[in-house]
Amino acid sequence: MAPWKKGVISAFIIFHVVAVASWLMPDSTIKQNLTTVTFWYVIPVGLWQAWDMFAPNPSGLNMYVHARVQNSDGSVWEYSLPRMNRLGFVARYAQERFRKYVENAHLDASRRFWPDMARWVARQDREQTGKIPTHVQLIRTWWEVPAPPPDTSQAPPEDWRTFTFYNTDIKNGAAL
Amino acid sequence: MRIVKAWDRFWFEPRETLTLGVIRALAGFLVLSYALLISGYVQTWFTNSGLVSSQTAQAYDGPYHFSLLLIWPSATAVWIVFGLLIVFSISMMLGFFSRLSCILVYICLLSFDHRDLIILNSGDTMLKLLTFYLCLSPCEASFSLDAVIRRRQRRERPNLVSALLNNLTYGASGPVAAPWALRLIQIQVSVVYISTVLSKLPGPMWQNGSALWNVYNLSEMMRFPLPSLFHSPFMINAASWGTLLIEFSMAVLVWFPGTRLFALLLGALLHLGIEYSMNVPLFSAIMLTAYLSFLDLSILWRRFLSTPWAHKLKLAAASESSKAPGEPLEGREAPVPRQRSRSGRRR
Repeated sequence: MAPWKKGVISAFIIFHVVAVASWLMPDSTIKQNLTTVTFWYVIPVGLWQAWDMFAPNPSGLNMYVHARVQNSDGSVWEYSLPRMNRLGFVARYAQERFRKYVENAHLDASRRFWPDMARWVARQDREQTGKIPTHVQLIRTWWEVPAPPPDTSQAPPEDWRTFTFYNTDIKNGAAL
Repeated sequence: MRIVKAWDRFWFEPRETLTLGVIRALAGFLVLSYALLISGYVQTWFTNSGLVSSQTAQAYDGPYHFSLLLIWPSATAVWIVFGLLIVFSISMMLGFFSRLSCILVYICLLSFDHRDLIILNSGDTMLKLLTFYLCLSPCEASFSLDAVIRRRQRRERPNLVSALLNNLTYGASGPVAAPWALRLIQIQVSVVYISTVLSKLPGPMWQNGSALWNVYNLSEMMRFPLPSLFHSPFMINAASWGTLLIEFSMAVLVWFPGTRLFALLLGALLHLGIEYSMNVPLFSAIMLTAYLSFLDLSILWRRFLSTPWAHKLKLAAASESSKAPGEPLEGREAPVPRQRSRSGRRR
């Protein structure tokens, strides 16, 4: 390989490794300074990454999102986004993205996703019941894994709680 | 000067390309599996009638995440890109226009990933990164239709079957190339584990060895049920600290020839455990594929050829008949393959 080619590749390698490292290093002044430069390489090219799953502690949140849809004829349609532990082993593999979606979208910081979620649920109602949805309630239902007891062979108690996190009227429910 | 020489040896000393070819083929298969897994939910996840509209995705992502599906958000465009992803993943798997296929697969994967950041898991990230590194590598040199066609053209082989057989069997005497892209895959694997260990270490549950108590009770994440033995306090401790230990091994010990195989075996064990117990589609398969970058598959292949099985399959004979000097891709002479001792050290 020609020396100039090695030089160019070496420069790229150094830049690339620094860019990836800057993305993953702990929050600091160095990280701030580096990422202002490497941002323009890492983000558009799609090299961003985070490997902090179950860190610093694994989450103990078991949750799902439930929807209550009111129809124009006064009936109510109940629906839960797919729950992995209610699916077969193959189906849960293909539908895992619903779990990931719920894990991220239920957060208050993700409220911009809620109107789309409500509209999508209303559409499911329209397609499955043929009725016209007028109002959607999104409810999160959860329980948190308690601290490990001395005898961890026993399953922990499931203390379920619910909270309605989004309410919206559906305009044009017939045209969904 | 020693540093310069070491740098040159590490990144540019030519080595076999069979490993890269196998990684490319497996990565192509995994991209195809990814496509099949999302095939029933393309409408739900990537179109405006789904759970995330393109306006919401754009607002969440910011303006700098490139995605064809944000440029052309119509359902027709989404299905076209999805169809292209399937076609290119097959050509990537077979090694037909390998480098171009990898680049096109990468553009499609990036488009799907950036269209819906909220649904991504670790497998999606690692698959995209692996494809990126393959785009930079001579992944067409071995174990590919490209290599078969090239050899056929050069040597006027009479038929495709014979050319394919020879291409598969020439092993260590095949093309060699500077391994810098393969090294980047190795570094990426190591970075995954360094990063994950460093982010877990400050966690009190990882420190006191109870972290997997939470994990085992996340019913939405479980795949197959774990035997009750794993729920005992001893096993929860052992599995929590064992996870950190294995991840540390894959970050550090994998770089030393004497401990490499040990680290890889531990890592494989960890990922088989994850694959059994946790529902993270394709993640373990992608990581295990990336592990191959630490192995020299041409040596393993030569060892296989010397077994009675290979003679029965007549692979060894085909290999002998096709033995040709190495084909350097960069205009350099192919080095004589070095023998490795049992400990993995070069002689």
